[in-house]
Amino acid sequence: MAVLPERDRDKEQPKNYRVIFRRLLSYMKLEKWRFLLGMALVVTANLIAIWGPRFAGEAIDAMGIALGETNFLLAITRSLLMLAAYGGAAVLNFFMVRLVVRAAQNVVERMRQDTFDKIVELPISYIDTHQAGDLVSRISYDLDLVSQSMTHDFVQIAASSITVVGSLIMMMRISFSLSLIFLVILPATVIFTIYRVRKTRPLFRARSKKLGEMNGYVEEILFGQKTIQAYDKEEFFADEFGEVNSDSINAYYKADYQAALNGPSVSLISNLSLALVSLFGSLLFLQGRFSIGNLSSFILYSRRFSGPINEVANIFADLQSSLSAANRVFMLLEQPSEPADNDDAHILTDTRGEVEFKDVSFSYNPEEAVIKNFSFTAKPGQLVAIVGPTGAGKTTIINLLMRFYDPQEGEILIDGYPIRNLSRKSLRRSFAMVLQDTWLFSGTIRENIAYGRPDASLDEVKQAAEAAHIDDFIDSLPQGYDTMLTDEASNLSQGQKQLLTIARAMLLDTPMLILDEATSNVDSHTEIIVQDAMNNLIEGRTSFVIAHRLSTIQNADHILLLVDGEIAEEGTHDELLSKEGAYYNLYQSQFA
Amino acid sequence: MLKSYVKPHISKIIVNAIVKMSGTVLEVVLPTILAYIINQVVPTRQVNSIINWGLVMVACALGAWYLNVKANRMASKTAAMTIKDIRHDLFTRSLGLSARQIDRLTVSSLESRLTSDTYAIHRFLGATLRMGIRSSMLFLGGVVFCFILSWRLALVLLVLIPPLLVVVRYILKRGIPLYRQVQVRVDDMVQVIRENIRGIKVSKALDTTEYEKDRYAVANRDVKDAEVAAAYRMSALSPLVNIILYSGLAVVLILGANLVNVGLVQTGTILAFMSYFIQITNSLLGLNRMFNIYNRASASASRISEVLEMPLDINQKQDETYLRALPDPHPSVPEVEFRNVSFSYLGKKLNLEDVSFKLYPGDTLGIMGATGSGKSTIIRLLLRQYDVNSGEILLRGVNIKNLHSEELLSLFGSVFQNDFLYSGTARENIAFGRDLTEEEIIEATKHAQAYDFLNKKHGLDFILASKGVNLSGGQKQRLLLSRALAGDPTILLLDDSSSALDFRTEANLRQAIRANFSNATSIVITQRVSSVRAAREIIFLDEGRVIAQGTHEELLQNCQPYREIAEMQTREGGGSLDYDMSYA
Repeated sequence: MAVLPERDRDKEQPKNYRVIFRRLLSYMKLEKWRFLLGMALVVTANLIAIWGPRFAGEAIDAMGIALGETNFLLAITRSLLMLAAYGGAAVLNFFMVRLVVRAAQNVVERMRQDTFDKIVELPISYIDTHQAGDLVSRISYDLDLVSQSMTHDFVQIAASSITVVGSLIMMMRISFSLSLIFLVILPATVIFTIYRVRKTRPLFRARSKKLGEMNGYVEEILFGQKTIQAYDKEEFFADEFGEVNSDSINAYYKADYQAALNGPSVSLISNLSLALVSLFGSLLFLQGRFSIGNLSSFILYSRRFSGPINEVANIFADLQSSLSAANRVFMLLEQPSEPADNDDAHILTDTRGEVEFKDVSFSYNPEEAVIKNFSFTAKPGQLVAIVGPTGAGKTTIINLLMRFYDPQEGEILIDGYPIRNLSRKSLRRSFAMVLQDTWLFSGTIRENIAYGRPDASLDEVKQAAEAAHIDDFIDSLPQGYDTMLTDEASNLSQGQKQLLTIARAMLLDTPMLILDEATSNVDSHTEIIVQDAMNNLIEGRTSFVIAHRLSTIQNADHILLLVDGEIAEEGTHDELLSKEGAYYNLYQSQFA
Repeated sequence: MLKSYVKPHISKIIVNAIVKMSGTVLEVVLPTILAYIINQVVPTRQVNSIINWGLVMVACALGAWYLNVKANRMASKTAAMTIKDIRHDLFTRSLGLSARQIDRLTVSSLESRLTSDTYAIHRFLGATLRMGIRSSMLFLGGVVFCFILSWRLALVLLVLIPPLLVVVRYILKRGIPLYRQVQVRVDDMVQVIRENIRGIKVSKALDTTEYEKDRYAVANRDVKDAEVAAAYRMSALSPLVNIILYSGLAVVLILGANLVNVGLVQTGTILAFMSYFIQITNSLLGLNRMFNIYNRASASASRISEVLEMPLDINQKQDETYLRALPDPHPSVPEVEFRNVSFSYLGKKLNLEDVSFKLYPGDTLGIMGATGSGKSTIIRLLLRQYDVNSGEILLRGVNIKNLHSEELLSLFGSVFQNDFLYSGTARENIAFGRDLTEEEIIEATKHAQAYDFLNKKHGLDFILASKGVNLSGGQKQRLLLSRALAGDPTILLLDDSSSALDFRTEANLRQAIRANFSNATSIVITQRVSSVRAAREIIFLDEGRVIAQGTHEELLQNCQPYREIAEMQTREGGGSLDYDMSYA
């Protein structure tokens, strides 16, 4: 199907982080009280914790240096104050985490719901031109990144900056000259860390990419294992895997090799600080400008330093990717939904089922017209068979009837009403639809049959199943109509799935029917049953059938032979055969 | 379990460990030097000495950095090399598993063993060599130095460590299953999204959009609740560890004040103690992380060794003493013979029961029957992907169990139902690792009626997407047929290989095979009477039993289901007006 330009637009949109961030903030406002309280707790906790080293130093000073100099009361109170500072901070952090997690999860729940709601409201054209995996990953993967950022990153940035700045201030208050060490170490650390992150990020991206490729290869080749064995080619593919494996191992190693520097470097900064503080602290102490308690506080402060800087550097990189992730979600949310009905839209009731196409032309993309000047009228109750080669526009006719797409030219009328002026809901509800691609969802068989009419009684569901010849099968299941269908109904055969969707259509009792006959993947015996069920369904409805079966075509009141989007020939089976034209040739090649 | 893979690297690992330990010791010693400076050097008031010791500390820090980086890089290398071998052997073994073993393990499980399980081992190996050695050294070194500095104060540690361990293990033990729960909920939620995207036309047609939104809201809320529950349970971990740690520190300070007062401990020692405390706590957290990685890795390791150590299946074993060379074909000896073959996949009900037929060189056997009636099983047995439960399969009079498997497999060109195409060029997919010339490949595409459509798409250089999704069903089948025909097979096995072809193309295909592979013996599985009408013999299967066997005419006479199908597919009934792209 045509590829519309939306996908490219997603990519080309300049990433204005400020705009994305503001948009994210507007979501976070939903939980602003929890977030604000959480932030207040982080700030308080870290401000309290900063006093810990200070109290520890004072406790040590209270011990004195020489024998018997100890001021016990002071030593004990300062030790307990230290514990109170750290302990208090820990308790506050405990509540903070809970608040922020709850807030972030509430916000993300809302974002997920909005994204999902958008997906089901999008026009079919969007879904047709975008990969399902891409849409799924926006909800699952992208929003997960956003949630992690909301939970950890903002909090961590606040905590780290308070720790770093607060520690620096505390140290300056104790000894300005000794803090000069950190005025050198701090910027050096920041620059080094940023440099490292820049250097390793691309390597880690490359590593994920290579791992992904290897996963893909493994998945693909293992699927063909039996065939590979039949051709006795295990060695060939094992050798081929050798290359893929090497690539992924090398990418992993390269990233690891660079990352091998990170841990030791964080320790180096911490250890260097310790060494320098010890050296210069001792010298100052010797000059009597510095107590041993001061030295102790300094050491504890310096130990708190290197971790946060490293973390913040990583967080900024994380934030970047989660803002990009948020952006992908916002781009999706900005897509226009299926337009609303006109204010004066007519609501279709008591439909007779007369359908008229008037000079309809349609294309998925401007270069290629799919339907050209299509005109045709179906009378109530008629069976219209649409035949023609793949790509001739058969499915498009159905898309237009259901208003999944609107034609560029011409109009379609039902009972004389142009469908553009009908409420979409009433239009679509007047059709029952059985598509080639059977759709069942995880739920019970009963829920699946009653999908269009959740209020249907069990008796009605059973009648529908009977008319679709699937009742015996359902009755044979231990749980009967309450049997759960799981994992895209993988526990059913293709034919059984088809019968279930026929039962679903049966239950709707609509004046019109759209049917896409599918024959592949069903064995001959099942096919006879399916065909009979379909015949039951067609009866009494204006039916549009994309026909594959000769019997359907022979019974049709009207056959449309589509070739390249135009009606090449139309009429009944016999009329068309007697013309000895395109239909005749087709028939001869297929059935004679 | 995977020890043999680590063994070749053992000398490197020992060097690695020594380097890492030395680096870590250089770090561990720092607080002790500090204590020494304050307790011993400062009182002497020798500035030079202080500077020298300070420089020693700087040197230790730099040395530690250098050695640790070195060791980490060695660790990465060792881990990478080890995993490379494991993964390669695992992949090779997976490809060699018998069909029965694969059925039991399932492909998706093998896939996760090759990917996420090998990652887990990789992470574990890397982490052990880096973090594991470091954490244990930091822990041990910290404890040892604490005792050297002051055994009295060090006793506080002994009191502290058990509750720390208990708290950490307890919380993690209760928390980790909750994270698994999150994953389950996320999977459920994704399922709803996928269903909705796939069924978007249905939900729009039936106006159930609001219903679907509600359905999603439930799944969505479940995810949130699971996430919150897991995070809540873990939220106490870090605060509790901190409170225990700092309580210990407070005790050290208060106890220390007493000891300093009576001269049993010097103030510098207390300073060093505070550093060691923080170090020991961090190392405990590190060791705990190791423990979790180990838990995951050992589960992964056993899943990997299960496959690596899986013995050859019975049908893959070859008893040298009975091995026989394959005789040349002879018109009077059946090329393929099934003698009273019965077989069951699961050992419960028979999937094939007492099947017998003889197929002479150049003959065609047609097999028909409903889905699940055992048609494909016949081919699988002939290829020895499974062994018969009773009866015999003979090739030119020799039981296939007594044939060398390479010799056996070299006879066949096969196409299976929904067979395997992979991302790569059409050429690669047809050649399939065999040494075939360009001419042979092109020739095969012509016979398989694939030449024309390929020519419209860059010929043999056309690049297929994974599983050939960028081709129509008919095009896929024609590529697969090209593969089967390309090796000039002696026996052709075609399982549902032309169902998506329109009748005209299929007729051309049959014509090409007749003309160019007249010597080849064929087994054709199909739903179409036209595909087997000319066959020497047709077998009609029902639930594993042969209900009719004979020529087309004979089956029309005496097999009612065959007759029904034939009638439906010819003139009057309800045949199939299927098209293929090529026809348009």
